Amino acid sequence: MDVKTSKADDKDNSINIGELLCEARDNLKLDSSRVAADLNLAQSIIENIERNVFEQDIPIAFIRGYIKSYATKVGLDTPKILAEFDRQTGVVAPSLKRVRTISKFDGNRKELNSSSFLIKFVSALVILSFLSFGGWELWKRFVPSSGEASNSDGNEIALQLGSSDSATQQDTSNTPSKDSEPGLKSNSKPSSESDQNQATLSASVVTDFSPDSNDENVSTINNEVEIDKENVIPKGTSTESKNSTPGVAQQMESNELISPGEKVIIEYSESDFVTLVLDFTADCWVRIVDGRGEVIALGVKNAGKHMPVRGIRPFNVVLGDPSVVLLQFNEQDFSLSGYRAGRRAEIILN
Amino acid sequence: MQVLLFNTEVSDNQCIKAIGNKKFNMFNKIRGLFSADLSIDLGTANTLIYMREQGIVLNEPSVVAIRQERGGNKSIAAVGSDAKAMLGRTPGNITAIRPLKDGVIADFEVTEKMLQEFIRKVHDSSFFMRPSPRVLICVPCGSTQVERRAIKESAYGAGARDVYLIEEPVAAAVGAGLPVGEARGSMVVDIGGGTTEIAILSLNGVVSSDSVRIGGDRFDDAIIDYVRRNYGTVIGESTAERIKHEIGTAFPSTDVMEIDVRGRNLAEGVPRKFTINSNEILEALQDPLAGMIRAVRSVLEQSPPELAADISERGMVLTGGGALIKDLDRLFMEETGLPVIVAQDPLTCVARGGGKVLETIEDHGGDLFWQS
Repeated sequence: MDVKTSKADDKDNSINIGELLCEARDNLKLDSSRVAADLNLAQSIIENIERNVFEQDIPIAFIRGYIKSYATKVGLDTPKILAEFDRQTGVVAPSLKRVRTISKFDGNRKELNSSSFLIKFVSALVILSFLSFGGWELWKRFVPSSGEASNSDGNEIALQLGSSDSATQQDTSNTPSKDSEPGLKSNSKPSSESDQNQATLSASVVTDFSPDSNDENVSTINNEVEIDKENVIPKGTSTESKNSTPGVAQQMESNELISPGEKVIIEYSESDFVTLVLDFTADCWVRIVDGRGEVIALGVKNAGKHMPVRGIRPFNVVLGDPSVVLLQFNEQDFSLSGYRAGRRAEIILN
Repeated sequence: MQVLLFNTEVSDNQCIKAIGNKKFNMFNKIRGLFSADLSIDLGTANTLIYMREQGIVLNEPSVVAIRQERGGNKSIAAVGSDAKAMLGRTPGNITAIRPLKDGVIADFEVTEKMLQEFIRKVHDSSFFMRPSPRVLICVPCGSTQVERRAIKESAYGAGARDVYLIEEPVAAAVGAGLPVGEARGSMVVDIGGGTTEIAILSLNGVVSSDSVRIGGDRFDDAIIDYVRRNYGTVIGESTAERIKHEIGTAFPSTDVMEIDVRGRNLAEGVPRKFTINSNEILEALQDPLAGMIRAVRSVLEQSPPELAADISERGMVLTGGGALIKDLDRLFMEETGLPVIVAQDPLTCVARGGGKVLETIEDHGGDLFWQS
């Protein structure tokens, strides 16, 4: 939209800037296109200035500058022209505009990053659960439960309750043991001591080569086993409990009740023990755990060491370097050639 | 406990202040009642202060004369015009220095003292209480964070209650009356004493900019070098500045002006008089002028096409003292092919623009400002 400067027209004594510039240009015999080209301006701007018509969207500062350049170009008294222009238009500077804000991003929104409390808490929770799960698994693996005290390698165990009801002992040769050998017999004898709170189970193991052995031939080794609450089997329940030994199961058949916290003493005969002989040609780390869960050898053994050990089958033998060990099990050589030299070997001897 | 109490009263933009200053914040607010807001164009050559609702109230050279006392202590002997008159004419115990160089602080302590003196000078009436105004300072857009921090710290040290920084081209554009808030490109070239700031602005922000360390001082140096090389005579900074003001030109013209100059002849060692003309000065200024044109072209090359079209239609605006060199607009016009206009009263554009922004500070808030 084009507007005309009203003040210039209203006052008779005012100078018509456009006319002055146009006259000066004509005196110099210049056309408006030439002036526009020299001032790098559009010809329309020059023509509008000469007609005192200014586009409203051009800031007054620019128009003033164009008039100054034009006046300088045509050799007019620039300060006088500009003073007149200022007088006519007034020094109207554009007001400062603020760029409007329509909406704001939510400044309170919390971004999840590695330092936020939530992420830290969740991470700690995950790590803790992993650790507790791992710890539980390790606990289960290395801490034997009461049920593991039983021998499941074919030996039948006769359990005897040290209570007053222990008279009801039965032959356990027909118990449904998974690995039971037909020649094995079980024998039981009453415990000499009984406690009101603890029922003591005595287990005597009779090997097949001494089927007629009686109580006098049996040397007993007592193992005390805690019985958990889970192992409490009420009278009349099934004997196929997972944690109960065959002997225990048989005893359960006799409708005996084993109270929680009761200790079971398992007796092993001398003949149950097997000798394991290790000869070391070089230093080697070794760990041997027998069937009772007892660690019977542990640590670094020096070269040249002759090490016979005795224990109950099965043996769990871990060797640091199997190539430097000569192993005899049950008076027979056991070949370790299948294991890689210098690498840890774990052997189960049964 | 006292420090904590006052900490709560310190706004974010003041957090760089030393704690020692914070505890006086309450007193600053009381003192602020007796102080007017100021916009300061802290230039290399001149410092201009615009006072709210009063206009430009101070325009003095950025020069400080320092006296060396006998005990080794230093004191301020003169500031501004008085100090400039001493430039090159001082005895051994007085040094007249320019604490700003290339648009940034070269001597922090002296700048602080100079600002303190200027602020005190424009607050003559409040003799019973040290003024503590809100201050807006214009900084070169090419200045670093450290340099801006130094300027801000210096203003706080001079007693300012709040300090805002604004980039010089923005202030210059506002002072020149350009519509910086519109979605339309406006180009401004602010030729100061130490630097030339070139920027393309739109929507109250700088779209592309450049800052070259070429300004009025470089013109003076170029004239001194030229005179020594061609006339074998050494002239001082003041003489070179006078030559620049009187016959300095940036574009060849048929009107040749001459000026008589006195300097010390290098061969004879005695003062001699000689005459130099405007064409010679034009020749002397070729190097700094070429540097400016390169910078302007560089900014135009960086500008987005839409803004380049706007600038091509309306042209660029020259501000700053350097814009007063004769035919500088013609030189830029020839070199760029764009319309070039010189702003009204280019010397005070930056200070006036800063003042205009300061007057609307409550409405605009952080808009138009650069704050650290």
